[in-house]
Amino acid sequence: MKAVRKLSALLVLTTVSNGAGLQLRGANARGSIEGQVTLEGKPAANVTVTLDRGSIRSTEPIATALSDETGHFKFGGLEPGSYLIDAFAPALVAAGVTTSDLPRARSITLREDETVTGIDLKLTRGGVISGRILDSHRQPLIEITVDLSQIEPTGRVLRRRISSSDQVMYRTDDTGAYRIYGLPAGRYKLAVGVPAGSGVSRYEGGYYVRTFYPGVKDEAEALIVDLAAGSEVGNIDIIVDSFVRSYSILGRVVNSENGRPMTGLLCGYGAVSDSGRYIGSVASIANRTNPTGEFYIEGLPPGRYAAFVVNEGESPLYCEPTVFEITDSDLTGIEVKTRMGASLSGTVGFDDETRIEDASNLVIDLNILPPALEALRKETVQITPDLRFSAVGLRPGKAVITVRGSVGGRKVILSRIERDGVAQAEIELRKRESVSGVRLVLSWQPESR
Amino acid sequence: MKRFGLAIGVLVFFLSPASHVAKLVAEPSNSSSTLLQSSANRDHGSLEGHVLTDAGQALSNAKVTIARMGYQGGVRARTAVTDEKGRFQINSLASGRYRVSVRAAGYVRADNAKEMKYYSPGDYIAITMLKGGVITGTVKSPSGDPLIRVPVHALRLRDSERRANIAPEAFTSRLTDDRGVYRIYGLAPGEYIVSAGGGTRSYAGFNKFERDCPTYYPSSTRQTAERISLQPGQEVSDVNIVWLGEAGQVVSGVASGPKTGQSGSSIAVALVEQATGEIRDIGNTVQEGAFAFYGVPDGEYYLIARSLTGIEKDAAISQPSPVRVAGSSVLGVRVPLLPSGSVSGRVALEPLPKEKSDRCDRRQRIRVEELILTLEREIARGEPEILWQTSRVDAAPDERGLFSVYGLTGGQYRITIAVPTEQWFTKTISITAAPVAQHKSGTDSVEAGPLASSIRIQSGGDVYMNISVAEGAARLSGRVGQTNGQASAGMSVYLVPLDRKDVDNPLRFVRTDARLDGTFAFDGIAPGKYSIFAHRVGAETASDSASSYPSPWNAAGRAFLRSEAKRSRTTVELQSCQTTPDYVVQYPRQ
Repeated sequence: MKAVRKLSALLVLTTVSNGAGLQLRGANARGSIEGQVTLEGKPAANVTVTLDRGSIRSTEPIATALSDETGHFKFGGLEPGSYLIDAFAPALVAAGVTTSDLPRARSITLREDETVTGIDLKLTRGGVISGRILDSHRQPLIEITVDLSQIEPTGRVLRRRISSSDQVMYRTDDTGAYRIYGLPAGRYKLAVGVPAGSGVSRYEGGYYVRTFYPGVKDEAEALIVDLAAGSEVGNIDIIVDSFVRSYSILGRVVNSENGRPMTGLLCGYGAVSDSGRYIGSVASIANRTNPTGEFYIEGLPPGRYAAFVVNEGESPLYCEPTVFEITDSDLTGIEVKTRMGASLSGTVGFDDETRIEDASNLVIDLNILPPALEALRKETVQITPDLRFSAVGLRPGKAVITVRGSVGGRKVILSRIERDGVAQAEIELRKRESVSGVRLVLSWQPESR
Repeated sequence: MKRFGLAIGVLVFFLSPASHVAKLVAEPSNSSSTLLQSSANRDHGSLEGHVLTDAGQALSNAKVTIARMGYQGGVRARTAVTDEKGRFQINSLASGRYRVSVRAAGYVRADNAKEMKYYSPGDYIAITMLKGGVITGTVKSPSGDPLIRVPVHALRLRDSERRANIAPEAFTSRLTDDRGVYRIYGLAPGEYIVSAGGGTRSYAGFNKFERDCPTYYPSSTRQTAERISLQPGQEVSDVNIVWLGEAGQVVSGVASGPKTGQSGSSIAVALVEQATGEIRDIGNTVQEGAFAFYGVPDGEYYLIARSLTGIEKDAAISQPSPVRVAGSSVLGVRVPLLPSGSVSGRVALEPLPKEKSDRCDRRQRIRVEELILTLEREIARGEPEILWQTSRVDAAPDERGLFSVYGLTGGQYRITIAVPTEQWFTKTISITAAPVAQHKSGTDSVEAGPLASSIRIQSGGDVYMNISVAEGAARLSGRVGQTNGQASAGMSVYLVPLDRKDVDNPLRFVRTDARLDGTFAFDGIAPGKYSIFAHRVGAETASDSASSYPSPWNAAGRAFLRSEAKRSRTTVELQSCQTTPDYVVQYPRQ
């Protein structure tokens, strides 16, 4: 793999000391931490022990020490505070620990001038699981990440977190081989591939369908790997036969009135069911439409989707989402249209003389029925300090208005909608219609007790 | 396969369930939805091709990315994945020139294919990928214990054609496993050195091996490192390293410049060995431009920083800052970043007027966005060649002919324009005193004169130019006639301008290398009067440092070529669209 390189700045304090004490904060700091490293119960010499400030193991320990011949190490000259002690020993695990989730590191809170002893790091050799990931023709699958879950004695399945310093060993090489070492004893379940998607996930090129060892899609049929302490289990090969290719779409946003490309807009998409509803969430892509109104979404698995323009705020336009179906090729020529919307404006107030000094805790929710696939648009309307509101870029339809919030700490409800002084059951918005003079009449929410 | 849906590159909005559910599960209104079926839109051009392995097998699921040159903003790159026959097709492309890159795990591009190659819609792209080579072995202590999780780096020093290759991507790294075994795969053919430990954090998390000096294969320092030659697809095993574990020094400091500290800007810093120009390490700064290199052996280095703002315009580059490491760490080095220079301007096309075009059969239309401008930095004699510095930038004008090239290190640059057909040629390049107007034609801006040498680009400076590309180029072909029976290998044929207005115009000096049988051909030559002569490559001394050819880009090179031309006394006059075949150039001249 190409190395991802990162530099860091904390340097001056980083020193290797050889078992002996290390001054960290001059003569005034006199706290110290001492302990012993053992491997299989015997003192372990020359193990690099790291000292971190706080509770997270970092890339930049504030000090490191080597254990001496009796396994002992000591950090001196420490200021009060919390510290974390760990060993750089990737193939070793904490002795007696049977879950992947418990850290090997030890946390210490040090008081002023305190000497903490007995911080022992009891290590034991970790186990190894190795094998290959192959396709149905027994060809190696390269750079596939293996997912490892541990089945705890309680039956709980715990997915092993892959730390960034560990991730390389979870990934197959050019022969399809992986080798995961430093594992606590236990029962493990292995899988590769992607679980059923959420409808917005995108995949570079495509993905392999979730497959468990030795090559089954049903998790219940997965074989469990029993790993004894410090042992190696090899030939855990997983045969993967289902690859789902992904495709791209190239679309364009145009103004429906004049056919002109709409530039600088954000586009979104989401998977749509056969009945035309979104399945789960929707997402927006990072790039805005270019000067010719184009947008591009890649990495979509086959399926039915809708693409739309994200209404980012005060746009007077609404969009007509376009539904498209990806089967077995990239799509081009998808057009998403924007249209000039209707507007709705008016005032908010009580019937009586109740004055609203502060409307900042009041929100108007505005929904247009029937609903459409136009997603990711603002649906709450702000009320100005002078108790006015205005919403633009609305799709034609029936406006459903509700008011939420409180005035002076008391909850309010919307009791009535008036248009030009006449009470309305609902407000119908026609194309491009500008509806003003709407009054939202509030009343106190009845005390419910 | 890389899953990127929920990670980088996309913003994902999860709608809060309560108030939005109604909308999400509703039927779309019929009026506002159209169901499109899969269909290839062929209104615009398309690029199609195939990806094969060097063994001739189809490479499926390779990712092909094409990026349009000179395109600013919006959809720039498009991707496709090869099918089971290795084929790909990308449709609905605007006219212009496209660069193609291919990624397939475990495979590399052949070096000879890496020359910048551009495609236009309608072209067919045939790509061959080489099976990557492998270097594998162990890292052990002197007592024979396997060392676990040691970062091992393969650095490609030379490519398969033995050209020096010290670009940052030449580093490929892996970690040793619990047996001390490492396996670095997907390597391009070439010459490598392999080192264990040392250097910047290649992997997240503390790694004690990075604090020590790198140990080079087999168990040595850089000076005595053994080189490993890797053929395409070859696996070299038993590259076993015995760890020296010599304490390394730290080189740290701060890189700062005009745009640092801005959000989203990061700075890459390279540690380069002075004597060889070889990159020893490279990394990104953390906040405030701070950087640190660990495990640095004693030696003399340059630190070079470059900001990566994501906005080319704001790119900043440092001069090489010398650092000497001798027995102790060097902390607090300041590496000042200087704003980069730019070149911008307009290219205008000049078709032949009707009365002159009669001679031209098969006239070929070109579009201005199909031209490729190349700026190439001249490496001065004695200047260390630090390949990490940008030395060559390609750009393309937009549909209006406008172009901008940013991010240039200060220095002298040569400019060349590649024209897609041989009937057009670069007529003039003139530097203008002010930016070329966006809407007017370029001719009315203040001319500072035609180009007589390479362009001086200063740090933070902008250079503006007008370029005219004209129709009616001439062609001349023939052979070098040997008067003394010598072999024709290694000959070059030169055209040196004789028209008074062009005697100092570097664009009018043209060289072509003769083939082994002595035949040669000039394409895309500006009409005019020339002196023509043959010359043996490397036979004379008036050359620049970058090649053994005399260069028309400096006065000395032109003077040398003119004196050669004077002695040859052979002239040729080329008219618009004229094709002159079977021309014989005598060598040595009589």
